[in-house]
Amino acid sequence: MLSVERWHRQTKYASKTKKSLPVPIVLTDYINGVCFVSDANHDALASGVTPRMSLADARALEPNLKIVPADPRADTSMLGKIANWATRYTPWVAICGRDGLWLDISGCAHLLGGEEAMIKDLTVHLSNFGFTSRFSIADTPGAAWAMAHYGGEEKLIAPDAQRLALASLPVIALRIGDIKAVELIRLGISSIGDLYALPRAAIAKRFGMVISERLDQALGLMPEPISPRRPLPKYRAECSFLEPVSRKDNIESCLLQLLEDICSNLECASQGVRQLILDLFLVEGATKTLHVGTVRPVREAKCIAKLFAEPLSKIDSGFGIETMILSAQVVEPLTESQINVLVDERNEEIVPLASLLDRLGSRLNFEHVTRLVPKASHLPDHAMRQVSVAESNMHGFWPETQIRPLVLLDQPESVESITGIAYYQPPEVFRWRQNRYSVRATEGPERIAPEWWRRDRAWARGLRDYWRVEAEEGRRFWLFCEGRRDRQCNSLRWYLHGFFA
Amino acid sequence: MEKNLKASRGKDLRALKAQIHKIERPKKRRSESLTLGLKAIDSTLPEGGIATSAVHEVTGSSGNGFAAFLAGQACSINRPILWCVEDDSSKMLYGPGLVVFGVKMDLLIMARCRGTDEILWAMEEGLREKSIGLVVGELSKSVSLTASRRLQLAAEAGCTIGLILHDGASEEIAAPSAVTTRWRVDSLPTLKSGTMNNKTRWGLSLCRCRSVTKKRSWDVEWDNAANTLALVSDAKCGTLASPNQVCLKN
Repeated sequence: MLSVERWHRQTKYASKTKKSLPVPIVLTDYINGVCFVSDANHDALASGVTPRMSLADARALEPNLKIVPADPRADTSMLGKIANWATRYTPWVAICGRDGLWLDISGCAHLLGGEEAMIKDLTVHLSNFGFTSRFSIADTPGAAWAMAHYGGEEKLIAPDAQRLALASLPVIALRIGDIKAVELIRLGISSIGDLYALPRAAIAKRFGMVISERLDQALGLMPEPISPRRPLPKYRAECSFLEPVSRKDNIESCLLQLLEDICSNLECASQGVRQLILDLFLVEGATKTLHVGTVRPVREAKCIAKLFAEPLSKIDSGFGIETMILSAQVVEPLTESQINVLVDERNEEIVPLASLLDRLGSRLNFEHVTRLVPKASHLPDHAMRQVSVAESNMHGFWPETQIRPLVLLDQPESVESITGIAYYQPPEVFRWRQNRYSVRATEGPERIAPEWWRRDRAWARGLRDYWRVEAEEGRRFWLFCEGRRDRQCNSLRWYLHGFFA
Repeated sequence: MEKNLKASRGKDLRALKAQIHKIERPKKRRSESLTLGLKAIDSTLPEGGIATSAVHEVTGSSGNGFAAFLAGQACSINRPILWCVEDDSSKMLYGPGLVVFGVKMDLLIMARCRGTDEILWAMEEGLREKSIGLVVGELSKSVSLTASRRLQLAAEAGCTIGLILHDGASEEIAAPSAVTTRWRVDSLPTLKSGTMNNKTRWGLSLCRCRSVTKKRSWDVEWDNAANTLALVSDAKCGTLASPNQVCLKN
């Protein structure tokens, strides 16, 4: 049903057509060249159309079908959005199959007034967004899945009551796949209750371990872990509003409150935060996520609030924000420092700059705020790399004896020689990017051979002879000659690799 | 009656003056500068060097070389440097080439920005930071009056030096701007003899500077080996040899 409802939501189809008239809609997809129904709405289901039926059969049943091509990618992203939205109930949310969600609500339900109140809130919200939902709460994921998909009216299974609740459900509710379920039914085992009595060894011998494993998982005899979509935060603070909030200063003051909560917790644990995520839950159901990182662990609420100011200003809060959840994703130990008494020698110059680097990094990305670090290589394009300031300081030595240009081109550019090509001297007049340069003086060559332990396609053509070349008007270039010349072939080419100051 | 009016007018005036005084920027307490290490140039400049709390503009083919030299000077007094460049440019500042100007690499922070707006933002953030020595921004064209004014105010707030690098056309250079000085740095041929010696020669001209009425220019030479900037006495170097004679034959 998710796909059809997603399509409804996107096209606002429901609002345009009269509600009283039944409009059977199916979404279709091609499997091995045959057009199949991948999803159908209530009206279509009522007329006997079921998913995985071929379109021709469906049309025979219901000639007035409205047919829409399926879009699995949009369905997945919609499910992702719903999953993000569901993190307001619990941080532990995972996607299950094509249209389901797991929510681990251990220790969360009482915050929302108990399981029943929570379920009611969830279904009301989902139906407001335009989605039909089925749900179940049980001790184990397996039992909850079975009850949600095949269960009757009773949706809340009491603790340790799953054995009784599952007994009457069909075997397919165990998530064992169609083929195995059909085989079981052929043997006369139609409900899960029938399986309880059977000896396990015989089942395992005939069907493999899957069935007994699933059964044990559903009954809680074997663990079935759910991995959350996002790593669970160490520290989390939440704030829900009675009325949606959309004013900037209100949001900011609320954020500061959340930050202060988290920072005081961090202080108790002698920790500082490196990465924070702020989730904003909007009234219309969308979720906005803001990421903020720092170069060193911090726990000053005001400093962190400044980092959020820039991304917050870009957020369109629409009709308002219902809930804000702040989670500290990465924390590192941060001991209390004595200010101005002992200076940390290692980080001496980074500390006053840290707040600047945080601000730059949060807007430009930390990968874009870098230091230049030497690397042991003869090849000029490998001798330096850019390391993010967020990483620890890397030390090395810069080669000082070699003469190197101030600016290096990422990709060497071919220059056209006007006065012929020779390997023993650079061209006397050359053309680069439509400009003509006549050479006034040269120095070289410096021969650089490729490093055999490094596979680099740029150096596949062998060694290069580098020359410093000064043009008539004073510009200084770094040219190199590549290729070879012998009787058979002449593949000598000149390239420009850099500029001197 | 008349007296009353006068008194109230005087009062109003005083209040207005106080108001204006509040709006006005406080005068710089002391003028600091980054010296070039060359007396001839330093003495021309009113602050005795490249003034702090100010934004300067550098154009010409060797603008980045001059910026690298100034970065080296800032490193010699242990001040960090923020260098803002456009992210998608195909060329990059090369560490081994910077080292020869005395730049300490652990003091250099590169910020790769998306577009002019982010470069200007990053420069402003850097300029406001008091511990930073020099902020360099490589732009594709000259900045507007408003943008340069913003940078100037940021530099005054942080007592830092801002450097706008661009290879703008001549009409852009004439455009109004709030920069304190404007330089043009072009590379000049170095040699007298055949091979290139390990030196870098620039034609340095001061196109605009308050209290320097006339355009001044100098030919300077950076010696990689000695790490010094020196004035070249003869403007045009010797006789030009033809490339044929100059090239090394191996």
